[in-house]
Amino acid sequence: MPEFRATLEVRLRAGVLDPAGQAVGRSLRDLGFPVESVGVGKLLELTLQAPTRAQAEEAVRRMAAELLVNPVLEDYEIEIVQR
Amino acid sequence: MRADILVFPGSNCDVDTEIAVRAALPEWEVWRQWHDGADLSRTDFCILPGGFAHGDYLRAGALAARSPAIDAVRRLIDRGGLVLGICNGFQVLVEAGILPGAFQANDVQHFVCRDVHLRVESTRSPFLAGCAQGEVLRLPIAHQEGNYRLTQGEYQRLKGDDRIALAYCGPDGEADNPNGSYGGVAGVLAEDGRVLGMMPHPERAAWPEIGRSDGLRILSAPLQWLAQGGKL
Amino acid sequence: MQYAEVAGLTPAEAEEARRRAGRDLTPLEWAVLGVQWSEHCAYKHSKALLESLPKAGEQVLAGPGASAGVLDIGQGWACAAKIESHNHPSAVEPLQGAATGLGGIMRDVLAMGARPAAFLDALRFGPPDDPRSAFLARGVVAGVGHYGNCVGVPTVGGDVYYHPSYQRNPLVNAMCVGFLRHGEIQSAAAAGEGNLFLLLGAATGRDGIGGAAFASVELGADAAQDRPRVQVGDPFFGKLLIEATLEILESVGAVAIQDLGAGGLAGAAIEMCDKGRVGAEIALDAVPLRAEDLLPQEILLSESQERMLLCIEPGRVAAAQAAARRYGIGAAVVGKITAQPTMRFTYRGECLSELPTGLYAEAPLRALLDTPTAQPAEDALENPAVRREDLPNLLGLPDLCDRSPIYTTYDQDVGLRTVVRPGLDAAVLRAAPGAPGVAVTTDQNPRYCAIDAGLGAEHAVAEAARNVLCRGAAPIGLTNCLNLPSPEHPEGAMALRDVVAGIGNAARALALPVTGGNVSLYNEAEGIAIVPTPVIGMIGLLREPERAIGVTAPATGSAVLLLGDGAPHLGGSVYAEYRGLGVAAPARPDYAALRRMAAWVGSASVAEAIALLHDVADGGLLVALAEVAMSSGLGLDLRLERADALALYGEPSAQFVALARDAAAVRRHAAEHAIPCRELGRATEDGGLRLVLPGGVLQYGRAELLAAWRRPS
Repeated sequence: MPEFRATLEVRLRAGVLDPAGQAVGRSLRDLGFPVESVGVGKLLELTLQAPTRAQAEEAVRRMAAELLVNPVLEDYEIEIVQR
Repeated sequence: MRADILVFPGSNCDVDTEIAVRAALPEWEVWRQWHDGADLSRTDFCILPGGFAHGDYLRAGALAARSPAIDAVRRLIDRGGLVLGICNGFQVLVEAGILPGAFQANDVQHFVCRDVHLRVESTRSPFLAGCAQGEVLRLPIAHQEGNYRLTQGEYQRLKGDDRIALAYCGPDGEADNPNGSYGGVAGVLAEDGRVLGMMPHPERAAWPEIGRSDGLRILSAPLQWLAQGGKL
Repeated sequence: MQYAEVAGLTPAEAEEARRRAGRDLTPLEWAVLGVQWSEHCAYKHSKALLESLPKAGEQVLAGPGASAGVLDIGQGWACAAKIESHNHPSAVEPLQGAATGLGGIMRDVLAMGARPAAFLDALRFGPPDDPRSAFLARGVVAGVGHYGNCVGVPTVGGDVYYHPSYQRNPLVNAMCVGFLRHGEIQSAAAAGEGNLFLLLGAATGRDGIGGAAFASVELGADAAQDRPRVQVGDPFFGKLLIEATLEILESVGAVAIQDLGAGGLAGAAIEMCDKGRVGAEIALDAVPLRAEDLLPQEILLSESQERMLLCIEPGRVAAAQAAARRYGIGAAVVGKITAQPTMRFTYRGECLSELPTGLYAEAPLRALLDTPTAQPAEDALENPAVRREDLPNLLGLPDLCDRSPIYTTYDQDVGLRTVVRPGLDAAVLRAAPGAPGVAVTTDQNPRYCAIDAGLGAEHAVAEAARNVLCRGAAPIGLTNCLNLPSPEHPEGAMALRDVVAGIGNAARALALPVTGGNVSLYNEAEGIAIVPTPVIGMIGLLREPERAIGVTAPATGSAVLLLGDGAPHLGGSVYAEYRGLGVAAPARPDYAALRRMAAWVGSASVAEAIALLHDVADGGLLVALAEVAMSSGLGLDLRLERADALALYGEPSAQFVALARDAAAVRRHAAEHAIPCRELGRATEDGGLRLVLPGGVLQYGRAELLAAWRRPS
């Protein structure tokens, strides 16, 4: 069965407070860097087997919905690559 | 003699530390200094207290370690002053490269607040002048990212240089480890022994009237050091 | 009409609003009114009832109506305390719901001018084997730790109970205790024409828009869809806010201060003006924003966290802003006070609304249904002989087992005020080393409340009083959080009446003032209503907290004494439920016995005579003895006169197990105060229980007890 690598980029939804992003942005500006905003998210990397690319993506979406992402606070993007 | 406590945004044990240091070093001047504009040129003893400096966002101690106040700490170290990093303060000193190693989340994956026992592994520092080699102290810990990581090589080197100051143990000195730290290391010295980073909180155990006073062994140690002819 | 309905107002309320305004309202005004006249903000169903609670007491420095009640604790020190719920948000996003609950109650204590010194959390969840309940429980505990640990306020107490009725409606009641000097007590009444409103703290975003109204509507099955309404807390910012606020209050001075909670800027400004009988002009475009595209209505109602509103003299603004800047938090002038009691909201020079302060602040109250509801039939309970395995089985029940896996994830010590940590009964706090202090606890028993809400409320007060007595502290005041179902159904309305009556009865019987609290109604989801849950937060006075009971460990050889009255009952007991004996109401608390105990504790240096004091409560005498053994590390070698369930597992209302330092002194004091005192045996070095009973000996080793009590959660 083909193997796929999925990258899940998780970010806070627009409008949700990002305390980490704000604190990091402040510190960067204090160090003299001209940043306007910083967002802190997370990156998950999964390897999985699936019959087709579409089914691999479907599986990762279900994982996101059930466990990996908090839909109340977070959005995500998936990238799938066949290994 | 003078002690200064460095306060970062989000430090939350600074007042506790000031009160405890006043109790431990009754004849010393004790100041708290906001990190922005901190002047450590007149101090003999700087303490980086516990808390969540800058919220511990990004990595514990990471943002505070980049503060200009840390340059003042480095200058104090060059002058031979004493520096004590407690909990978050230890994390800041590690992020600043002043002490070796790195911190990760506790292996139990949650915040741990309870009393632990510590074995005194080295007494060559002004901070441990009041303790005997192998003595067991009881102090509280309260941290989420207290898992102190060293490579095997770093650990051997520190051990060989007598720079492991404190190790977690059981009440009778047997092995114990509340957070997964490599080798159960709870406290580490700089090369000249004049900088100590430790995860447990001595300021929370400076209170004989409520039966928690082993922290005074560390906080009062500069007095013993001076009495023994040590220089500050 | 459509806007009024969307805002959650009934046709009658909308009509009343139009009558008072003399015109129809604008969409912005309907939105503000919807929040101000929501149940959460206006207490429409409960306000009249709550007036019946006793509020006077010689130690009361601030009572109901203040941001938090304040009690005098001696030597110029005072203790501010209040409990508040954050139930509905926690059902949707448990970590942030709990975190923002702590942030909100912390700001209420801060608004009195007190430094927040401790949190306690009363938590209620569905059974641990329900995956959703377990998920919510984990999230809530994580949220309490996340906020409390980072903001630097220790969590020192609380309780957790599990019951099916909480399955979709978890309860998160957060109590905050703070200390201040008498001269530092702040007002929330805006005053002085020309004085300014200063908004201190975080920038304003979209958090929780309409949250207060959200809390007043029963959760539908798609509650997870209510996404924009969940607020996110930032405990790091909260810490900066504490420091900046206290510095400004101390060195700059404010006329009045209140935190921004339900209803956001609108709520705080309206309430401050109403208390001061003044009005204000608020410039919404002066509010510092996190996102550029907020509508004026959103700015007004946003429930972004970590914000305080100060009424301050114009000449002091610069100094306040300088202090705020040092801590990296915002401080913007957003309005000015007017003598005319009108609230005027403007945006970029245009006046969007002008209505009397009182129109918003004085919501029409709702009549509470008074339909008598059927009392459930009671069973006649058997009193069987006990079996050896009963004790380990009880110790392992979710409601009784070891709580240290929860509270060791909370920082219990930061601030140096925690003298006795969580574990048994009540925590002990000192205002400062060497200063007076308090014993604090939260209590409520869902089993009793499920059977009889009013009696359960009385027992909550009695149990909380017992728990502070266990530290040698006499109770001096209480705060309450009423968590109830919808008052629009007969059962919910009766429950509200009953719990208020119960708290009133108990508070009057014990001469305790109710210094304030919170009401959370509409706790029902998918047709299932929660058990009425009146949580009591109790404050006990300690002149010398460093010498409280529990500071010095008890010694081997101590006499083990049983003190007090309050005959045990099996009705509502853990044992009756576990053994399937049936359902019956508990007996009424024995207030006279509790008063005698409080009189003794208030008069003598109890900690000199008693090393450990633990009340007999859930699980009765044998569970209390096991808890004493496990907590002290000592063994108990005792002789008991009866071996039936009522004697060993019945739950009394005024009975205590004591390990004596000076048994003769205890007997003398008990006799002086007419408190029954019976010696049961001795404390031994060999941990565990050895109980000589009429029919034989029951013995439990320490390891066996601990293994049962520490069941994996």
